[in-house]
Amino acid sequence: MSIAASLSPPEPRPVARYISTLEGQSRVFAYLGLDDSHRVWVSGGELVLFGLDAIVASQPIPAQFDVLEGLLPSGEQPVVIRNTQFISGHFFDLHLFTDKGEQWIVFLDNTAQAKDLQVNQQIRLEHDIRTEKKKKQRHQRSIERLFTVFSDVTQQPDEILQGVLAIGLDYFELDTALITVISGDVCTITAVLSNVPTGYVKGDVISIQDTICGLFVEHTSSFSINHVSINAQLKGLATTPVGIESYIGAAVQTACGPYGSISFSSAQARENDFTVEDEKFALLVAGSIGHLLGNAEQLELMSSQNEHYRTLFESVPAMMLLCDVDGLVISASDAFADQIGCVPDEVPGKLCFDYFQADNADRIHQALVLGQGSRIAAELLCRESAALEVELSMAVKPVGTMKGIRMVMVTDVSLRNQASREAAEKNIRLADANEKLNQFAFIASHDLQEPLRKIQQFSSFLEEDLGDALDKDIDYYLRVIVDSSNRMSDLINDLLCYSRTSKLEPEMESVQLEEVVEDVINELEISIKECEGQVELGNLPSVSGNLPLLRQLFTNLIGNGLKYRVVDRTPVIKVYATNTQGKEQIVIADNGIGLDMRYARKIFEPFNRLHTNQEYKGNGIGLAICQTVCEKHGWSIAADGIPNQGTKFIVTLDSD
Amino acid sequence: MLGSFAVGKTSLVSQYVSSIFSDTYTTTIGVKIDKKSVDLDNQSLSLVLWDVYGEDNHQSVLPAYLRGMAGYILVVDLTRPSTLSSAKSLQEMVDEKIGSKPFVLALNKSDIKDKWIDGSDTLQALNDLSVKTVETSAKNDTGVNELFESLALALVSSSSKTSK
Repeated sequence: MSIAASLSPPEPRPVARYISTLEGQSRVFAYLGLDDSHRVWVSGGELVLFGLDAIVASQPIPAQFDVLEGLLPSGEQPVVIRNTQFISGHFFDLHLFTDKGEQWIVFLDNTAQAKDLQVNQQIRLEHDIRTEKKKKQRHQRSIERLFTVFSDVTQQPDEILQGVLAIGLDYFELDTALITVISGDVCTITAVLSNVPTGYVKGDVISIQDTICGLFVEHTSSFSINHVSINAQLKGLATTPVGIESYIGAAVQTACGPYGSISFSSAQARENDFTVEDEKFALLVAGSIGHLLGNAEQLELMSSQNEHYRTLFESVPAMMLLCDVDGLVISASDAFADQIGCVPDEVPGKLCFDYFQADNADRIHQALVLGQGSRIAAELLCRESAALEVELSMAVKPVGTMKGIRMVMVTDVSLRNQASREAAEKNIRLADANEKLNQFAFIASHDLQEPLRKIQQFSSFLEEDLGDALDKDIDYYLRVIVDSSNRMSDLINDLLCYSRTSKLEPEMESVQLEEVVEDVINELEISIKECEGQVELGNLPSVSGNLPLLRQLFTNLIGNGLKYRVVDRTPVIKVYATNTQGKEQIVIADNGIGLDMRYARKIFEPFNRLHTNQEYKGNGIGLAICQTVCEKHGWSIAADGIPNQGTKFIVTLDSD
Repeated sequence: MLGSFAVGKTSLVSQYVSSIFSDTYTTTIGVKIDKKSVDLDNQSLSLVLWDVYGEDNHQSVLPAYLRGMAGYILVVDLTRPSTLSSAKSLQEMVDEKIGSKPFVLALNKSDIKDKWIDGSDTLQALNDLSVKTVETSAKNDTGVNELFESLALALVSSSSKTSK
């Protein structure tokens, strides 16, 4: 049997007292009285309406009516859970209270009021949703507007700032926007935009203690407040001639460090407080302004505090750019502007890459990043002429208070490159001509040998056949013919040797120079004995070289020392190694007739002789061969001498 | 079910209990109480779901609605950043008023994920505190069962720990 069936009104005293005021309002209710085990011992009211008609006394109420799960015991303090829906279409206020140790639950119908409330709340929240949606759209539009303003390269920085302030005012629905620069204890207004008279003027200086931004810029990046006048923290601030009730601001930082603040305010309080999203937007605007002011600050520094740099640029006839690491031009020399065909003021604020061939951009960017000392080739675009070949060299210098600024020297290398190309072409032609000349010398000398041998041969036949019958004149003529042909033969042999040396592409191997010189001394043994000469050999290194050529080199140089000796002076030739300025050298020094240094280079030219054949026999080929041998090894040879004291031939290994 | 207004709390319950979704927004007054049985491995659990009205600029959730709560689902709509801060303050209120309870974070309206905002510190904080974070769409019935079952599992786990 259900409780509802067994019990009937009047209601128990606590419930009666609780709901007595409600009865007057014709409220519909039901109640349950519970024992310590949460079993129902008494119930009443409209139990059927609340779905309580099937409740039994034998089980705890939460087990039968799970809406109440977790709500019991009710505790000393009454609890009201309003507008509970557990039966479709009905709203109930759920009252739980204790009276003299007894627990009571009262279910109070509230459907009519709740439905009214629902209608009102529905309208209000739909309005809130629309407002939120509009705000979101406004946020998106504002960001797009910011992007458009900052992307407009035709705008001057001041115009951009005004555009940004206008966007902020629209976004926050406030009426006054300020940008201030903070220096020490004062704020200076650098930009102002207001829809109402405020008394603010650009250039106004305000003590930071009298500003709201002074409260936060050192501690946090953004700040917002509504109902300023009732905020104890802000009382007494002389914030504005007309007062401020709502305020949102953010700190502005530029690349050079803290700059100041941006703020949006109104003399009226806002309907709603500022949100986190509002502060985020303020920070976005402040960040954008910081970037803009950073660039403008750099330009300003160039145009005012660092005027001397501009003067330098104007006066130095060199193409120069000052850029940041991203390639943004801070200043350009007049010479640069002249070359590209524009006025100097056009260049700052643009990207330097725009002035060079498109495929130079990556290289230029890398050079800007690498900074000091980097150097690259590029092609400068000129409006009125063809692209100019230039070299860009970077120097990183502090300019005023700006750090990391790239000073870019733009050097016209078109003439140098042209000369270099012409020299390379000439070298190719010269090498070709030398090759042909060598071939000619070889062929000519080779082919001359045959008729010469015939002259020598038939001269000797004549000499033998005529024998004693030769008269004096004919004998003289024949001797001249034989001597001349012998000299010519020597000359041809030397020429062939020189030609072969020049043509040879020597195979290199490891060669012990000491062994080479010892061999040469052995070969020259007879000549050395004839003149009673001495050859002193020091320690020589091993080198990478061609053995036959090196043997030829030392034969010629030691032979030279023996040949050009001073009469009555024992020829002494020293061969040794030395090291001068980190370069290994082989020296062949003699005590012979020496050398007038005016001819120190000339003696290495073919057929150039400083003495007649009568004084010292020879054809002037020996030293030319020595020079060729050295060149084939990548070495150099030089002569150093003092007349009548001796000559040194210095072979420098691995010459540059 | 806790969260800001119009994040989809009622829609999630409706989808879970009745497999019904309506595109029409209807505000919740007070609390709607529903029931659903869920089978977890070898045991059956009866969930009594209190779908509490959403917080808005004019009303906060009263602590009385948290009475007897074993755990909760915190619902956010990532197309509206303000719902995250609201969710965080609700989570803090629960901790303060009735002590820490297990909760599952529902990132609802995943059917319009392209309009979600980027992750924020608040989302990360809630993600760290929740027993699980589930992307849901009441509209597409995505992640809805997983959401409630995750909470049920957390409650069973929490209950067994308490009984030990």
